Amino acid sequence: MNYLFSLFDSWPFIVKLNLILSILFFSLAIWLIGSVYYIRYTKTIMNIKRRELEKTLLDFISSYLFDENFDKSSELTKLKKTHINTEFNLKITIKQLLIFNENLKGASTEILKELFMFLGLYEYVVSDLKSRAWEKKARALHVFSQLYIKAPEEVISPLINDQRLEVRQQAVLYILNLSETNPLEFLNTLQDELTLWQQIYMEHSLKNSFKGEIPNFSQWTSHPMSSVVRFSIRMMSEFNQFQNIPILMTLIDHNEESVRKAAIHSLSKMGHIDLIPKLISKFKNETPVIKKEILKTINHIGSYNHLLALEVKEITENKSLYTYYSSLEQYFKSTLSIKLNMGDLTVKEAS
Amino acid sequence: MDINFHQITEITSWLFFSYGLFICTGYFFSAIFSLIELRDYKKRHNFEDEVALLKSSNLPQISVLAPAYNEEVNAVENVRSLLTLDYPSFEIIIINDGSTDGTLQILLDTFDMVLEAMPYYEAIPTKKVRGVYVSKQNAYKNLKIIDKENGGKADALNAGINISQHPKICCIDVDCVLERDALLKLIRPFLNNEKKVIASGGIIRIANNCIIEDGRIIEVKLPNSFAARAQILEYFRAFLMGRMAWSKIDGLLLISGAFGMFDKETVIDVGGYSTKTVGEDMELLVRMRRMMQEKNIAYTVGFIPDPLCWTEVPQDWKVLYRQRTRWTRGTIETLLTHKRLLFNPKYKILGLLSAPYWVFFEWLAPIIEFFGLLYFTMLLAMGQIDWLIVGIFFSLVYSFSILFSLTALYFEEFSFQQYKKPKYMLILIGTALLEPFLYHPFVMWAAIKGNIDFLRGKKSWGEMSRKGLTNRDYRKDKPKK
Repeated sequence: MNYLFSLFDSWPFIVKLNLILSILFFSLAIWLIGSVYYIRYTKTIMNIKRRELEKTLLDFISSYLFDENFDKSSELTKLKKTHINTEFNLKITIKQLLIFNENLKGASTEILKELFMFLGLYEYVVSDLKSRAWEKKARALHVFSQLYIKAPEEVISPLINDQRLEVRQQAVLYILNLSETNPLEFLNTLQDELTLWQQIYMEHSLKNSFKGEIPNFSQWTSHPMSSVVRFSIRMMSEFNQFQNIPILMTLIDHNEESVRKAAIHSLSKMGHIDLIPKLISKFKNETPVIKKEILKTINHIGSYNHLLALEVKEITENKSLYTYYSSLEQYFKSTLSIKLNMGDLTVKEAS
Repeated sequence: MDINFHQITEITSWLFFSYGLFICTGYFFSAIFSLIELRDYKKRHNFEDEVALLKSSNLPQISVLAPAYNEEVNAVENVRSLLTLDYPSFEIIIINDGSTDGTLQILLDTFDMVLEAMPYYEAIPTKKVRGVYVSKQNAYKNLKIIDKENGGKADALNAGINISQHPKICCIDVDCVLERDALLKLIRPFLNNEKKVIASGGIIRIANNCIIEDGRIIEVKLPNSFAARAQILEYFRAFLMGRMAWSKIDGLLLISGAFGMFDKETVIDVGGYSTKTVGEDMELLVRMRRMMQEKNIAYTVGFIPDPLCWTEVPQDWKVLYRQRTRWTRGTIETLLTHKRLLFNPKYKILGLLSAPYWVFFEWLAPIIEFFGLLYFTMLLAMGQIDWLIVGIFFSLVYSFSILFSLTALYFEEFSFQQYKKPKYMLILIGTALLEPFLYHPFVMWAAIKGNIDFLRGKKSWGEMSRKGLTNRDYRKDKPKK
């Protein structure tokens, strides 16, 4: 042994360093092999436990919901004692309740809420909501919004402007699902622009989860955030708020291109044909993006005559736009020829 | 100043050692960043509901572009698989790049396609487009086939971009197998970002030997050949460790040509794919990033680590060799085209980290390694070798090499665990132990040959023959007329 140490001491520094690093790397490699198998082992065990618990919960929740002879009180106590005792089991239980909730409606969901409370899951999720870890906060918000369970107001409010986008997103969905009056009131205090992702989920929630009266979206058309204005414009057509057409008509003169585009798109979707003469007059001085939107609108709700009314020389320089114009022209001509063969009167109008 | 032979060898040894240490440190940090990003990704996408996305009419529409050259074995099956992707609104454009086999005819017959007189603007110049075909059947209304003169993959993709109708383009290899939700996941970065997203890429997985039915991966199996298994480890290292880390610091320079999504407007702004390089995928992203930085527009590039795209890798050593020489040429061409980036603070991470990484780790590493071996041979010939020191040096290099591969395996196990059978892990660990002897010298030599080819001015792609991922041969069941 002493010989080895003296040999080691006699080596230059670089060789000594190499040897030490080699031993370290080999040890780490062996540790990693062990870790790979350890992860596999623990994942397998966890999956077995998960399946067993899921089966138990499936039977329990089904009986709790639908079996009249089921002794709810004693079985609940038993389940709490035997199964709802670790964080892992709590998470599985919540997930099972969410699955049931997704597939059930009416009185059954109320019973699920009751079960959620009896199992002591409310306290657990609230503690997650107060946690410092963003993923716990986001998950807690998700659970509450899916089960339509109200969380303490003072905990929710600051989360709308949380640093993490995921928390903000879940907070928005929570408010949309649980508010009874104006679900979009939070837009007034919003500090960050809405991403398209948030807008899609907000729309989905408004359409599928929110049970109250859809607000009038015109209240946000002068919001300082462009994404909020665009979202409101889009929602006006999604929820057929025809009373807002005059406001939308003013927005096609908005100084921001994306807002003008959204307004034209919404009006087109609402089939507001009076929009077209105004668009034709604006066409000359518009940006290429808006010009394309105008062409799309003519394609959607206009006619060949409207297309002919545009000043083509304005777009010949922009080849992409001109190609679109040409394909539209071709489309109208082919449509006309079909109609002509059928003896449709609209042909006379167009010619 | 007198420098003797011993001093020269010591200085040289220190230089090689410093380079090795530099590389190891880079890989160490890359592993740390990847782990952070993987953990974060798993947390971020824990409770997302895809139904809302599928129901939405406001998701950006996507044009899927798949160039096909002599792909008659796989084409039909792959188009069928593409047609069943989960996404509210997308079109599929197959670009037949002057195939000399029956690729076009088999597609036209199977999907009942007819020539369509469709005006389109050639925003990016390409070889002549002979025609655009659309299907007579409503079931295939979102399928278009472009028939054009042969001009290479980049030219074919450019033709697809010109004809595509939608604001986002997803460029794929026609022989790839995509997961059903691939588009839904790849579009995420475009939706969930406060900055403009110019591109997003995903992880490429190896499909050799996997069981595929109806264009979907049914069972993930390990390939039988050592070359393919070594590539699995290589892809783990490249994607789960390398690109995840670059994604964390927003320094990605490459989105695989096999599967990537781009903002069409930005692609057209930079002039589309370059036909002058064989590394068109990397070159395009570098050019796009460079333009955004020069215009001073806030932007980002997304990366999704989920296994979304499966591809067949070469099992034949000759084909692998051609692929690797081509990759090396592509890397050199891109780095030289954009040499302005190197150490240029104006380009921030791109200039100060990404480009130097590609120069020192990807381009120069095999060259330095090769010279290291030459140097060792020279010392051996001169009888200047101390075998104890060689043994210790070698054990350092070998231990680091297997440590790196095992870390990648650990990441795979931690994140997606695609290889379910325990024996697969054992085989992969065995592959990791043997790879430095049996595979690495081969790819190093291919990279050296790539450098030589570059210096000789070689420009061609070379044939990439494939076995095909499906057992059914669609050439035999053409519809009778």
